[in-house]
Amino acid sequence: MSSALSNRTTGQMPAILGSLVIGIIVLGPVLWAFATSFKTEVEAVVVPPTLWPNSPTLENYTKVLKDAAFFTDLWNSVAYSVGAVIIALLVGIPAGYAAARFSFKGKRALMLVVLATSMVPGVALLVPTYYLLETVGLLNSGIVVTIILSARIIPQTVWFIANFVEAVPVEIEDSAMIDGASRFQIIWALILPLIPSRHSRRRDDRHRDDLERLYHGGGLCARGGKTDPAGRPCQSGFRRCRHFVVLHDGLCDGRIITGHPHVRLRPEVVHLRPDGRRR
Amino acid sequence: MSIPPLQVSTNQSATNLASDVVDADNANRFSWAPFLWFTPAILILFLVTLYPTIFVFWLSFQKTKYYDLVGFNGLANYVEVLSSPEFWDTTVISLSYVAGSLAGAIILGMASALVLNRAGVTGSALRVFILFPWTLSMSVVGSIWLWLLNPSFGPIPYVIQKLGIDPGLMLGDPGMALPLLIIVTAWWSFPYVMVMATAAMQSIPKELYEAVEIDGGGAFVKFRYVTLTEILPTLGSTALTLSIMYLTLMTLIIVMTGGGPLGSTTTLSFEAFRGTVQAVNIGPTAVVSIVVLIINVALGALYTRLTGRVTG
Repeated sequence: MSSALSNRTTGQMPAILGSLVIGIIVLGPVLWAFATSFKTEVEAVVVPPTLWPNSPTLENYTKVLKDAAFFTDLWNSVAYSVGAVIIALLVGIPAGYAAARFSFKGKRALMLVVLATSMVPGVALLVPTYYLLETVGLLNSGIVVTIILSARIIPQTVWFIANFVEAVPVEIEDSAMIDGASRFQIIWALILPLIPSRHSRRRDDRHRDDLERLYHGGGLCARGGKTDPAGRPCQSGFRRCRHFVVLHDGLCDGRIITGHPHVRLRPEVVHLRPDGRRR
Repeated sequence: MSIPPLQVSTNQSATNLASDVVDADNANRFSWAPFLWFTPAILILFLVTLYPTIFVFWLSFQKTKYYDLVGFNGLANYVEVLSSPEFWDTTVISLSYVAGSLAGAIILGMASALVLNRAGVTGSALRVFILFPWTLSMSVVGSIWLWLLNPSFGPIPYVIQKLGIDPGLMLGDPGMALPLLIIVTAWWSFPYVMVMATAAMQSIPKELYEAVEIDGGGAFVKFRYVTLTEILPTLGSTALTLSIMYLTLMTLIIVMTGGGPLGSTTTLSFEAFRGTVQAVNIGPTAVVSIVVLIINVALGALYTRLTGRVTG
């Protein structure tokens, strides 16, 4: 047993050494900066450079903490980022909820416009933003900075919330509505607590990718083996894989299906069919 | 395009109360009510993104003096920008920067993904730490490397000198600044490639490697025909994401070189930033912004097409 283990470790030796080299390349600069923070001002610029501080000192830290500007800067950083997230959630939750629960004409176009705004780089809007803010006299306003920051994350927020809400079974809402809950109460007391982190977009994507890999291009892949009925390995080219639709017909892979967050919640409606038609 | 499962079920079942209240029966009937839910989000996006986007186009046709608009200018700003050699230098620098950083990040990211995947427990443990640079803000990355590369007391020039090579002015050397900036950008972003590549590699079925082994294929064949083939889509979308990021990246350049020396690290995005801040004549800057915007939207559209993320 132990010799088998050591054999395996020996086989891994080059890879382990390689990973350590990568580790040094990556963490070296960070560790060096960390070590420098404990050096005295003289030692920080001494030639030849020292790796570890000869006489470690906390003087740099106390200096920064005593500086009044530091706390203003810290407060600004926190206020802008937290403020932007709060604004994005406040406007993103209603929009995402509506995108997930209502079908209406123009929804797709609206969602695409929301997404398209995330393709416009902030740097391209520097000139017009600066010009417009100067015209209305709002330059140097913290609130404006926060709103601009929030606009950069609103598109993702709307799309993520829409995905999250889709993962929550609509029957729960139906029963709450029958019991007389208002839409606001439903969102606040039902939907938001039911959006646990495990329903994250990433996981959702991963499962969707799994499904797509299994059901690509019309060839139904065998369970686990990821080969199609003719025994050829599946290709994961997602251009072709996209065309599966979740429908009734019972051709489903148990492992993948039960692993899917949507499906676990609604086993009765979600089955797969590898053709691209929407029924 | 794939349709999110619940969306399908919501559309199909006419008995769904919660989704019926606002017009789920008939997706074709127009109603203003659902749009009210979008109003706050659209309002902010309109004021911060959509209106300035329209405005930058309008601005690009204006004659400007500092921040004053002094009349319609036709295509004069475009002619001025597109016929200036500086613009094309900047474009070449931008493209070199994007291509160089991308090559560095992908090669390093792939190499580390492969190596760490084989290193067992050590690899898994190190993977967590190697992600660290990616979590740092660009200004912090810039400051760290500014210190490391300082020609008077930085450890990297010192080591280079010990090896018997003249390190020169490092970031102060017009010929060295861009390559160094590329190295730092690659250092900062390759962990992202590594994570994406590792995730894609771990979902490759072992049977494929076994099949290659049975057929007598070696490590290279396994890498070329199984690993690379399987992770290529992931790698493609990762590369696009990074290209978009590199193209619009300014912070690192502002901190490390300020576009210099002698404009050797001035990218299109940095030029847009410099033009805005200096504000001598914002008309041409608007044109540069539009160029960045168009390239970015093209890359974004390509990304969306490639990954099929836009699902209705």
